[in-house]
Amino acid sequence: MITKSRGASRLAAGLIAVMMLSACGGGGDTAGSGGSGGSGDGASTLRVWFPGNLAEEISWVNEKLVPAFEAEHKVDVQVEFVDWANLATRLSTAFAGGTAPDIFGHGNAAAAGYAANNRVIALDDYLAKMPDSDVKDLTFLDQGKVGGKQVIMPLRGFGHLLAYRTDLFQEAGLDPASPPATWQDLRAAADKLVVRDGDRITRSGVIFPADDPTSMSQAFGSFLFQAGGSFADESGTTVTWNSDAGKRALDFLASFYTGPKAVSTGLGEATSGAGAQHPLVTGRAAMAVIDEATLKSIHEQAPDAAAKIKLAPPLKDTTAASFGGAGNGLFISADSGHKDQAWQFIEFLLKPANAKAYVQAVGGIPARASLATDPELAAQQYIKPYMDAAAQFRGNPNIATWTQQREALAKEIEAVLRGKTPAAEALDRAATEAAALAKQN
Amino acid sequence: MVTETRPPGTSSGPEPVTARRPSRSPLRSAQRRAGWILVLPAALALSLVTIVPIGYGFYLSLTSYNPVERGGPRFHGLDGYLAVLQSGEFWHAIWITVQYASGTLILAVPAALALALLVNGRFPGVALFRAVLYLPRVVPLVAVSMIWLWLYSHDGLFNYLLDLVGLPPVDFLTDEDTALPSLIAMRAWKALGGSMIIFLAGLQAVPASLLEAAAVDGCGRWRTLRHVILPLLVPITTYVVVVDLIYLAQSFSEIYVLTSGGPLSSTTVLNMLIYNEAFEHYRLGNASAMAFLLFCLIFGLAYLSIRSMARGGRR
Repeated sequence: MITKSRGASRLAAGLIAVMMLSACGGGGDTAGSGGSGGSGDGASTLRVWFPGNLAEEISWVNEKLVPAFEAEHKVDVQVEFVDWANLATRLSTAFAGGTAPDIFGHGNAAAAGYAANNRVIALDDYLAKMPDSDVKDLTFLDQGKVGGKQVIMPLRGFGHLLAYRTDLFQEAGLDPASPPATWQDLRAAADKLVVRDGDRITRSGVIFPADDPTSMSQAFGSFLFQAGGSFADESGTTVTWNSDAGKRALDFLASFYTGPKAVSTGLGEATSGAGAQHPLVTGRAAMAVIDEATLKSIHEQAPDAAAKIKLAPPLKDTTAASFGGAGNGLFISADSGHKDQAWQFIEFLLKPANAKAYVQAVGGIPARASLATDPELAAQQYIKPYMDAAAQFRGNPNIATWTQQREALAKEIEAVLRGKTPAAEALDRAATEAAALAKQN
Repeated sequence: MVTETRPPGTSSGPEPVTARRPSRSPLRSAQRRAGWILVLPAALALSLVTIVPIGYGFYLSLTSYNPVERGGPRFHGLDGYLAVLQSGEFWHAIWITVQYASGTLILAVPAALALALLVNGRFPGVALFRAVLYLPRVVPLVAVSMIWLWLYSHDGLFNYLLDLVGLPPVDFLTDEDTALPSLIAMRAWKALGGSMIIFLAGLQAVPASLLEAAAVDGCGRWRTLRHVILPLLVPITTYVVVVDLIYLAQSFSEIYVLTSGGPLSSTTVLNMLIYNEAFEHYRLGNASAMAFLLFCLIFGLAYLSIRSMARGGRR
C-alpha cells in the first residue's frame, strides 16, 4: 500500500512535469508557427492601428498600401483595424500595459490629451526634413498642432453639409437650384418639407447628426460656428460654448426637435454611414446634415436615391461655416522603438498617389491641397462638395481634456434637444463641469 | 414496519466508539502530498487569473488612476469610494440596475415556469418544442442583441407589425420612456429557455406518489399545482432567481449594443457606468470602487433573495 501511495505521488508529479513540458512544447510550436508568418523577427515589425472597420479601407491598406511599403522599406508591417467605439478603450489599456502600437490612428479630438501625457511624439523634426512644397501641400497640418508642435498627421478631412432631396424640393414647390443658405432659409424650407399625420411627423423637414450625444454636440458645433461662436478661447483654457452665440445656436437647433413647430425626429437613431437605410433614402427626411462618409455610403448602396440628393454649401448666420476639418490622422507612440520607420510609413501614406487612393477608399477631403483639382476626385459627387467647402470647416479645439469636456457638453445638449432643459442653463452647467475637468488635469 | 424509540440517556447494546483523530500514517501523508500536487496547477492558474486580478482591482479602487497618464496609480485610500457614494450618477445607475434586474425576473421567472409546465407533459413533438424554447439560451448575448437591434429599429419587424395593424411606429430604443422596458423584454426572452429547463428538471423530480395521492384526495390540477408542485419547487425557484439576479446585475453587452446607456442615461446600468467611468473619463480608480460596490450589491441582493425564499418555503 505504501508503495502504491508513493507511486501515486510520483505518478502525479510525473504527470504534471509531462503536462508542463508539453505545454511549453505547445507554446513553442504555436510561437513558431506564428513567427513563421512574418518575414523577420519581432524587432523589425511595425505595428499600426487604424481606426474604423470600413471594408474598402481595410482592403486598400492590407492589399495595396502595406505590400508596397514593405517592398520599398524592407519592414514588416502588422496592421490592425480597431472599431472607433473600442479605440479609446484599446488604446488606454495598451498604454497602461506598455503594449501600445508604434503608430495609431485617432481623431484630432484626442491629440492634446495624448500630447499632454507624453504618449505621442512631436513630428516637427521629421517634417523639417520634408521639402517645403510638400509640407505646404498638406491641407490640415495646422489642425494637428498642440502648443505649436505637430503631434498628429491628418490623413484626410471631413465635414458636415446639408444634403437635400431635389425631388421632394420640387414636390414642395421649392427650387432645387437654390438650397437654404441661411438659418431663416433652412427653417422655411424645413417647414415646407415636413409631413405630418395629425401630431405625428411622418417625414422630417430636416434631420441633423444625432446618433448619440457626441454627434448631437457636433450638430450644435455647426450652428455655433455659424453664429460666430466657438467651443473654447484662443488659448484653449476656457470654454466659450455658453456665449450668447452658443445659446442662440442651441436654441435654434432645439427648435427643430421640440415644441409645437418641431419638424425633426430621429434623436438617437443611427444614421451615420447608414447608406440605403438613411432617412434621406427611405424618404423619412427631406433634408439632412451629413458627413462625407455617410454620403459615400448612400452613393454606394442606393445610387438611384443618391442621384436625387444634392449638397448645399455651409449655412450662414453671421459666418458661413460648418463642423469639420481634420479627420482621422496618425500618431507615433512615444514608446515606439521604430520611430523612424513609423515616420516613413506615415510619409509613404501621405504621398500624393496614396493620399488620393485613401480618400477614394474612405471618402472625405484629401490631405493634400494639390488634389483639389484632381479630375478623378472632382468627378466624385461625394468628395467634390466637401473639397469645395474645406476652408469653411472648423473642428474641435486642442484641449488636453477635450474628449471628457465634450462628453459633458454632449450630455447637456441631448437634454436640450429632448426638451428637458433650457439651452442657456444646459450650456452654463456644461461649462462649469468642463472647467472642473480642466482644473483636475 | 417497527420503529424503536429510546428515551435520551438510555442505551442498549455496545457503547459507541469514541471518535479518534486519524493518525498521520505515512500512507495518508503521501496521499495528501499527491492531492496537493494534483491540485497545485489548478490552484495556481485560479490564483493567477482570478484572485490576483481581484486583488489588483481592489488595490486600484483605493487609488486615483488614469491609464493614459504615465504616473501610474496614486494611492488615495477610501476617497474614491466616498466620491462614488456621493455621486448622483452612481445611485441613478443602481436604480436602473434594480429596475432592469427585477423587471426581467418578474417577466422571465413566471413565464419560464409556465412554459416548463407546458412542456412537462408527453405529447408528440414535445422534444422539438423544448429545444426551440431553449434555443435563445445557446445564442451569444451579443448576437441576440444585434438581432433585437434590428427588430426594434424604425424599419424593423416590430414597427412593421405595428404598421400592419394600423398603429404608429414606436421609438423602442431611442425614447427614454420605452428604452428600458424594451431592454427588459429582450433580456427576459433570452433568459426564458435556461430557466425553463431548470424548472422542467424540478418538475420531473416531483415524486409521482405525491401527485397520485393528491389525485386520490380529489385535488384538481390547480390545487395540485398550488399546494403540491409549487411548494416543492421553492428550492429550484430560489436557484433560478439568485442565479439570474447575479447575471442581470452584471449586465453590460446587450446594453452596450442596444442603447449604450441612453437615451438620457435611462438605461445606464451600473456596469455601463463603470465602463464609461473607466474608458471615457479614464478614472480607473473610481470605476474599480464602483465594481466592488456592485459586488456588495449583488451579494446583498442574492442573500436577501435566498433568505426570503427560504422563509417562504418553510411556511
